Amino acid sequence: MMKFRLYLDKDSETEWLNQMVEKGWAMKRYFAGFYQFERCEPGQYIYQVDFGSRLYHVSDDYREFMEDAGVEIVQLWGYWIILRRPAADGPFELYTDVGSTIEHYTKIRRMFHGAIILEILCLLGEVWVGIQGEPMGYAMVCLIGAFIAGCINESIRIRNVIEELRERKSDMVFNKTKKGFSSLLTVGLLMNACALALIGSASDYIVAVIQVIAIIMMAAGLYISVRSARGRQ
Amino acid sequence: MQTSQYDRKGSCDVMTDRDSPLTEAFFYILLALRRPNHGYGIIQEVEQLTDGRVALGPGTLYGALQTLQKRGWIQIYSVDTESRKKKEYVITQAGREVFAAEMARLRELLENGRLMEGSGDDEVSIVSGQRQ
Repeated sequence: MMKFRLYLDKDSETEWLNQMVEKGWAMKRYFAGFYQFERCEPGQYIYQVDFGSRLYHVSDDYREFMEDAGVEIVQLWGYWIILRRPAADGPFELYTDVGSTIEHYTKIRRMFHGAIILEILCLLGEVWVGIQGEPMGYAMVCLIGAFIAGCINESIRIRNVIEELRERKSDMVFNKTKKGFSSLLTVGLLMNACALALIGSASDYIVAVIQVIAIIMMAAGLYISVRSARGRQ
Repeated sequence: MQTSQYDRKGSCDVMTDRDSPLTEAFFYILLALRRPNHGYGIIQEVEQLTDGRVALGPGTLYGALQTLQKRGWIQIYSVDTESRKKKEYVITQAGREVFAAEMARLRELLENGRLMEGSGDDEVSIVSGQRQ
């Protein structure tokens, strides 16, 4: 069985994979958002997602270490390492103390920051394509924009997770910034991307309707995002 | 008199626990490596020692072993070439010193903690900590 999901949040991804196991589906392979599942006994495995230090590569050391602990490396994807262990071997958690959990999330957050910078560069490139008179360029701008908003939101979420862990560790209270971009903004950007991509191939009327809805959503999303950001200060 | 051999290095770095006090994980890993042991062996021994209270996750242990090696507190003992490779680690002299320093710190805590036993409830007002 195949399922398509785009996760930026590794905690929800882990949760989903484990829910699938409960239903008797064990994830076997992953490629660009496509998860391939095999039948398994309900609750047979526990999945965890780790974050490596190199792209598509884990050291022999890591591999042996995990094997020794009864952990199977199911899939490498970018920096992500999807692991599982038979549930019969007991509870399976990768990070069991505050310090190492903070380190883990810090590495992930750093990766997101790198990704955001790269995406902004791509975005500027596409703006240039758009200026040349190619509507596809602006479609890409919206698509990348939606992705940037998603990554920024994830970075904020991880920041809050880290701050909470630090509070537990150091008995100090940090203030958290909640809220990133409203999902309305992301959806609006995606719709606008579709509308722009459709120019020329669909009727002008349909494109106009989609675009109007998209613009309303983007405006509302932006308004909500700004208001919630202000309200926190 | 136990003066602490450890000084506070650098500024208070919350991300990586610098030397002192040792985290529980580091403490127990060093203890488990007083004789050569491999990854999974460490997990099992620590679990036994603490009656299952401290269960080291593989991610935590893997990271800790890397860090401890970098600091020179543990070293690779042997790589069993026949059968299956199983990397064993063992504590170094530097590791033993760090462990002894931590023991001294804990002893001080414990001894000072005894002051509490002799004190009456009415004299002491307790400011409650905020750890759950």
